Amino acid sequence: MKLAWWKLLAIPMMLYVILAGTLIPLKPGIYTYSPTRITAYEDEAIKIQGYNTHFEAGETKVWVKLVNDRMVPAHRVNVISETDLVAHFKFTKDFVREDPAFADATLIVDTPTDGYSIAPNLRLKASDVPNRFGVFMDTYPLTRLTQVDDFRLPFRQILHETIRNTFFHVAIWMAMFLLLLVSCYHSIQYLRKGDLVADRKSASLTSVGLFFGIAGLLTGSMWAKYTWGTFWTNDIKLNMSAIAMLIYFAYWLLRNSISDIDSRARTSSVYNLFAFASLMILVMVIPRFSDSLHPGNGGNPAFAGEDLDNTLRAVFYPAIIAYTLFGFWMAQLHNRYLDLLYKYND
Amino acid sequence: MKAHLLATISLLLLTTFPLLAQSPMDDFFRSTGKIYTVLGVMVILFVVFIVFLVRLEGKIKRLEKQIKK
Repeated sequence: MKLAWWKLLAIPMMLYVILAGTLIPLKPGIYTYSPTRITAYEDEAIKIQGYNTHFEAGETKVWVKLVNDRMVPAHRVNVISETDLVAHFKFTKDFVREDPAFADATLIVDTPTDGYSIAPNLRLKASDVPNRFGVFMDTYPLTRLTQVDDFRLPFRQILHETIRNTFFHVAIWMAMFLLLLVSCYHSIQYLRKGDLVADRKSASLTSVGLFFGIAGLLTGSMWAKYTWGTFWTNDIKLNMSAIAMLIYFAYWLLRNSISDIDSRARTSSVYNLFAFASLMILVMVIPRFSDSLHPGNGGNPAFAGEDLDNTLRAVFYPAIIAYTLFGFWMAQLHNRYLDLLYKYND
Repeated sequence: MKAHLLATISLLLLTTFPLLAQSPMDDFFRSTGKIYTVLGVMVILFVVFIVFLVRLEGKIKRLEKQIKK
């Protein structure tokens, strides 16, 4: 048996996605730290737990980045282990005059081997007695930090290792869009030429696309549970994609409820075009007008700039291609079944 | 028959999911940087592919029976 080249390509690509997607390590990051609020003029000890970090006594520096992009160093860093340290801060200046209650700051740990890791949402509380000592602290520019470029996945708060789901959850949706797009092409071909072969191809591709969509919803639900807290949030993109899946489910019902071959082909081809247009509007357009937990919504295109770095891209794009090729393979098997069924019933 | 089985399984999964939420499974999926959440997602993908194959095989079997008759 000889497999077609694109099936032979699908196998190593799928393997690459599984292996690279699970084995490329995460960049070091700050896992947790406490307390998350510190007050000026008091000696504060922040306990920091790192992830994939290599803290070293004497080498590791801890900074607090202020709103004005200047950094304040910890006056003492007590390294307990490679992933644990205690940093002592004493702020001798009030931070924000306009908002005396709290100011947002960022905690930064800098090691020579790992480079720097950041944790946002450190709250700085100004003292009740402003500028008691009248001393201005030394602050440093951000250029003091160590940059390390290596082939590792970015560490993100809350996401942690689940950033890898980009290759599984996000890529399966993208593959679904491609499959359904090709399905639309075949629907148009049927409507133009009246060739039932094209109609069957479109039906197979839609059926695989629906499966991919269900996989996308289920995997998204799993991912949401351990990052956003529940299996289903009222996020606009979730609800809209669920509606889109229902529209495609209706396609499947419609197709199975019409017994006459020609009217079934015509009706489902037209409905398929409508379904794809609704899918695009529901999932790609509407969420952009509203706030969403998904990246790239509420105005910005997805995966612009910070959301997808080069290491993620090196696995994410092959993942889309691998799933799409697998989808075509599945659709082809389904299509061969449909062809046999048609020939037999003729 | 197959459709009934599928419906039952998916219903079971849907009803047991919220139960999972209050169990030690929760801590398991959050441990070691939430890596098991990724594993869970991969298992779901695998299961969906398998369900597709099983359904297709069922359809082909039915056709084979028809042809034999």
